[in-house]
Amino acid sequence: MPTMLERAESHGLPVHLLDLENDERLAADPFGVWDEMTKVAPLFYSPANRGFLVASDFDTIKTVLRDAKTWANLPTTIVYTKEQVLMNTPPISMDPPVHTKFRRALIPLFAPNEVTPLEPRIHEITHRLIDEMLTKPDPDYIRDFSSQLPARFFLGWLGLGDDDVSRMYQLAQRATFEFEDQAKRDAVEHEIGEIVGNLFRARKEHPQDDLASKMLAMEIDGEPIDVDLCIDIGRLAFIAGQDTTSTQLGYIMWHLARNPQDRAHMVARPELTNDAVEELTRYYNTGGPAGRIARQAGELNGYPIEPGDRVFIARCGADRQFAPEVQLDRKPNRHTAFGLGIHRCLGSHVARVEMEIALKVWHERIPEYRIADGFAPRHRYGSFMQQLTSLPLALG
Amino acid sequence: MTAQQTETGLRYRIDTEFCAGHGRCYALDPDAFVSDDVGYGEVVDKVHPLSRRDEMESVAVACPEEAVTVVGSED
Repeated sequence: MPTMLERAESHGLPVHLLDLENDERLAADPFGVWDEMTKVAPLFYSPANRGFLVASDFDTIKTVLRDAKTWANLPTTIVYTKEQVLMNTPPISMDPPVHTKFRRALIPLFAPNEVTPLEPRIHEITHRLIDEMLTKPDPDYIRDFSSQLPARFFLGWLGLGDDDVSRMYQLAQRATFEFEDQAKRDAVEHEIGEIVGNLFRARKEHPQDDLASKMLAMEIDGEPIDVDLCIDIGRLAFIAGQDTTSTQLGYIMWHLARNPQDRAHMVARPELTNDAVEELTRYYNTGGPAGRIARQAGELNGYPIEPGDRVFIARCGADRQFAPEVQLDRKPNRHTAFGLGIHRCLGSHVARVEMEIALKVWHERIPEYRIADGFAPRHRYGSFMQQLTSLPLALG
Repeated sequence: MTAQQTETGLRYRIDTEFCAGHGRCYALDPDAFVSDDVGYGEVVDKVHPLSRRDEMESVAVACPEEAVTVVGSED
């Protein structure tokens, strides 16, 4: 049977190296790499590691993500890694019709009307972090703020409190960036599973007013949800609730601290913070799990797909392709930062509210800031997303 | 007479097959959409003046699922 590479070559599909694990340019300029990928072709083949297709523009991405019949989330694997690593992260690692039932049960827990009552708590944490940051001789937005706010807020909401936030944030980080081999991956998931499992088993006995208790109260097909499966869903929430929003906030502030006009806009027009969040999320899309495996033969942009074909969804480049520069009040503004289709980010409403409050309060309290002298940005890579590792600021 | 000529206003439509509950519609045009109980957009039953066409098209484009469209109304 011809390999994916041989098939790509015989059908004239462009072949271009996208190596998320080893391309060191991702440490210095990840967005430059994404922009390069969009210029290759809407669909191309990367021979990195085990080889995979890359969907790099909006239409191709939309086609894949809307076609859950052809493009499955099971098995859930990271398509670009050297070794195959399987993941069990429901409901991401589910396909219809099972996925549909769980999704329907979960969506109400993350709906806007559930998020609104949480806003005072987000305000409170934001103010406290800013208070602490103002006393530091070497404030760093990522160390002191963006790695703290989503973790403290989300772990509290889930029911874990914020006693052991650093360890839990580190675990979420490892779960997002370490896919070296199955054993290491399983060890991280196991550690998270213990924390989340203890919480969920306690809440099963004595429900409280938190997300864990609400998840345990879900019914699937009229039956109470299985506790072990609920813990698996809780593990994903533990990871996704901490890491993605913190990474996105880091990039948003990196932009604002480098661009005084945009910073001034945030201060002068707080009522437009929402639009700015959309634009900066589009431009610095940190993405999310972004692979699919073909479960049946089909075609994509005219290219014949065989069962087992891997595709990587290069959402970051695709969103930047809509417009090559930042315009904070951009209208219309479409992007895929929270995904498309049936696996749309469940936490998108809460993430947007967190980012909006974080930025509004920050610009009320610290309208003047800039990047500290001598800063050279470094980005963590090797995952489906990149992450700015530090952001030292000069305040006031 | 073509449909175009009889249009006296505009309406939004949501294709529920594609709506995934991003919530951009009711965030961007809160007088024209509401969130249902779980965060999916619903169209408020009203006809908008033709002069709003560009603004409404901009809201439609912002839907990542391309589930929102603007259609002519003869009401």
